[in-house]
Amino acid sequence: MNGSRPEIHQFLPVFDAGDAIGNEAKQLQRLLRDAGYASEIFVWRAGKGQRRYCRHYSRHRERSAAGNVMLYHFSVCCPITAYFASAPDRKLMRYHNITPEEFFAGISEEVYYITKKGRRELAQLANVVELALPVSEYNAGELRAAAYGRVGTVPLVVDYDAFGGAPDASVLRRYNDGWTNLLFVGRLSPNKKQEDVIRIFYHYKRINPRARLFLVGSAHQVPRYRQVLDELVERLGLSDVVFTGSVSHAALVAYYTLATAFICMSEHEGFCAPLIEAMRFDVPVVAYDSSAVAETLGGTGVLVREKRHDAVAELIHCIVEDEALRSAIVEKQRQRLDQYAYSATSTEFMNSITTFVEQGSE
Amino acid sequence: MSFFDVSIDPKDKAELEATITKRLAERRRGSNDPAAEERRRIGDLLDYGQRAFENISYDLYNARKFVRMFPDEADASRGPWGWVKRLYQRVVRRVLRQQIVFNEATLGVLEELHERLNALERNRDVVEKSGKDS
Repeated sequence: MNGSRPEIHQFLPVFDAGDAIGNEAKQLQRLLRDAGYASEIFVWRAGKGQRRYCRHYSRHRERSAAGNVMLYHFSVCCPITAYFASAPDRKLMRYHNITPEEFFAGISEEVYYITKKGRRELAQLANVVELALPVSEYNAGELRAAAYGRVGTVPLVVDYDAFGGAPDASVLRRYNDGWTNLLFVGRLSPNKKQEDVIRIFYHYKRINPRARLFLVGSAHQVPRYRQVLDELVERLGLSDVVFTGSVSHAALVAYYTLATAFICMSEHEGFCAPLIEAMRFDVPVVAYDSSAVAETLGGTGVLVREKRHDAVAELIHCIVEDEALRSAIVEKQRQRLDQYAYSATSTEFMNSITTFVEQGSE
Repeated sequence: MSFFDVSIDPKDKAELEATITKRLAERRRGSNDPAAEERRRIGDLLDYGQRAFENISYDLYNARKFVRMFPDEADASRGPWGWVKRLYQRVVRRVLRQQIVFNEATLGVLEELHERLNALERNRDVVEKSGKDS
C-alpha cells in the first residue's frame, strides 16, 4: 500500500490492440492514476507490441497485500482465476460476459471447452468477489443468477469522442465510390452470426446491385467458421463481400466513415461496443434483439425481432433511400450516445470505486 | 406484431411496414421466391455441427489409413539413409496418432451433444403431447 491509499490493479486474460476490454483497462488505469491510486495492468497473455502497457500476472505477487484491490476483467477462463481467488487482496470483478459454449459445438472444440470452463470459473468466484461491476444489466442478471451478492452495473468506460481520428486514406480511396456500404464489426464467431448478415446482403444485393458488405473482425479464434462463411458467399454467388480481418484503428474509422448502415445479427452480446461506435459515426443501426443488444440501443436504432432475411433487406433499403427516416434514427442514436459519454461512465465507475475503497477502510 | 421496432411516429412506422410488405409481395410474385432460392442454394451448409461431425469422421478414417500405410520402424529400410527414413516415419506416425486422439475426443463431445439434443427433443415431444392430451 502506498500511504493511506490502496493500490488498485487490473487483471485481464488477454491484452490485445483494438480489443474493447483492453481499451477500457487503459482508460480505467488513467482514471485510477489521476485519482491518486497506484495502478498497473496484469495479464496472462499480451498481443504483439502490447507488453509496454502490461505485465505478466505472476509479477503481481510483489504488489499483493490485504488492503490492496484486484479488479478482474472476466470474460474467459484463464490461469489468473486461480491466482485471483487465492490472493489476500480485496476483490472486484468487471464482468464482460462469456459466450455460451453451445455456439461453438461442432465448430471449435477448443473454444467450446474454454467457454464451458469459463462459466464454471465464474460460479466458483461468486464467494470471493466482494463487488461485481458488470457492463450491462443483462450481465448483472447472469451474476445474480450465479449467486453473486453485491452487483452494480457500470457501462463500458470508453471515450467515444476520442474514438475518431484520421481515417485510413487507402481504405477511403479504394471504397469511396458512391456505393451503399453495409457494415458489421466483430470477430468472426458463430454467436455473432455473420452468416445472417451475409444472407441479408444476398437479398439486399438483388434490390441494390451497387452495394457491398464489410465484415470487419479477425477470424483467428474460430477459423472453421470463416471457411463456412466463405462457402456461404460462394454458394450464394455473391460478389462484393469484403472480409477485412483485424484492422488498424485508422482503418476501422475509415470503414465506419464509409458505412451506410450497420447490421448486427448477433445472438449473444454482453454489451456490444460496436453499436455505440456506429452511433458515434452517425451510422443507422439495424440489430437483432438478443442478449444485451436492446439494452445497449436503449430504444434507438432499429431492433429486429425476427430473422426474416428478405424483409430485413427491404427494411435496410427503406432506411438507405429515405433521408427523413435515416435522419430520425440517427438523431435518436445521438441522444443515446450522450448517455454513454465518457464523463458520465467514468464518474459512475469512480464513484463505485471510491465507495468500495471507503467501505474497506472503515 | 411487427418484426421490427423503431422509435418514429406510429403512423410513419405503419407506412414503413406497409411499404416493406408490398415490396416483398412484388418480389415474390415477379420471379422465383428469392427466399426459397436462397434456402436451396445454402442447403445444409449452416448445419455446421452435423458437417463437422461428418468431416471429423472422415479425417479419422483418413488418419487411420495413413498410419497403416507406414510400416513399423523395425521394417524401415536399412542402408546409408535408413536412419533418416526411420526418423521421418516416427515423426509422421506421432503426428497422425495425435490427430486420431484429438479427433476421437472431438467425436466424443459431438456424440454427447447429439445425445443431449435428442433427449431435449424427446422431452419437448412429451411436453407437447401432454399439452394436447390435456
